[in-house]
Amino acid sequence: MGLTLFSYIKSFQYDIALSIILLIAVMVIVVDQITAKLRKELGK
Amino acid sequence: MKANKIPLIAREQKKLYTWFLVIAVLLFAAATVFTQFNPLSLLANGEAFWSFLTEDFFPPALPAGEKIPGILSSVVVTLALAMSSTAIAAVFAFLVSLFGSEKISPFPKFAKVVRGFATFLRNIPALVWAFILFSSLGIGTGVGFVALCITSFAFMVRAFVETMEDVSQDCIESLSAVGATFPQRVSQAILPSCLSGFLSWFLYCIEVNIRASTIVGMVGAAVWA
Repeated sequence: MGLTLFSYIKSFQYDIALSIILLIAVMVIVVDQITAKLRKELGK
Repeated sequence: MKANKIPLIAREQKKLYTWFLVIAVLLFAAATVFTQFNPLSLLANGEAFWSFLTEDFFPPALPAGEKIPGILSSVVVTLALAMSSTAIAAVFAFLVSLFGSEKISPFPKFAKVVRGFATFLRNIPALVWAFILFSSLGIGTGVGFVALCITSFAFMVRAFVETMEDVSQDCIESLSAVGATFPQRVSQAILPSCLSGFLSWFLYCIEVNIRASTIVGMVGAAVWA
């Protein structure tokens, strides 16, 4: 993912780089939510 | 009659806070002089930064259609890298952490060495490990995997040791009293009481590694370039 992001930044395609950044943010948020829910279940 | 004022903060405490603020301001001033950083330059360059954000970055654009499968596959690689490195690190961290707790380890004197080793590995960030490994092993996902493994291993050793230290000693002592061996104490006392804690730290580590694997990938690209 970082490699892809870096290649767009290097080629000055910042608008596409922003899309990749947003995609990373979405991915992290989704994983955060899933693991938080799993941790909550384990804590019960 | 003069009204008595009730101070909101005790005089001594107020003096302490004031001195703290003065010292913080002085340290900030000294640090800006030492690093030759001018906070006003941020304001001076604010316009250029704003135009860069609004003109170059926004609005976000989708990449060309033929590049989307490649991007989606890089998402999968990032997730897989984070999960696989955390899983491998968790197995080793569990085994090593058994020797890192003075209460549980069959070699209590060795526990400090184990914890010290984990602390040493943990104090070097994944980025630095990536740089070291890129220089010695070359470019590739394997290097990112090893860098994430090392930092996750060190982090989980510490977390697992702390989890095991929190367990009540009664169970371990009673098992020791009836002659239980070290593997029996681990399987009958440590694992049942700490498993949820271990899994919780493992899941937290996956979260951290997903962010870290993106950064490690960027370092790889930067080194390659």
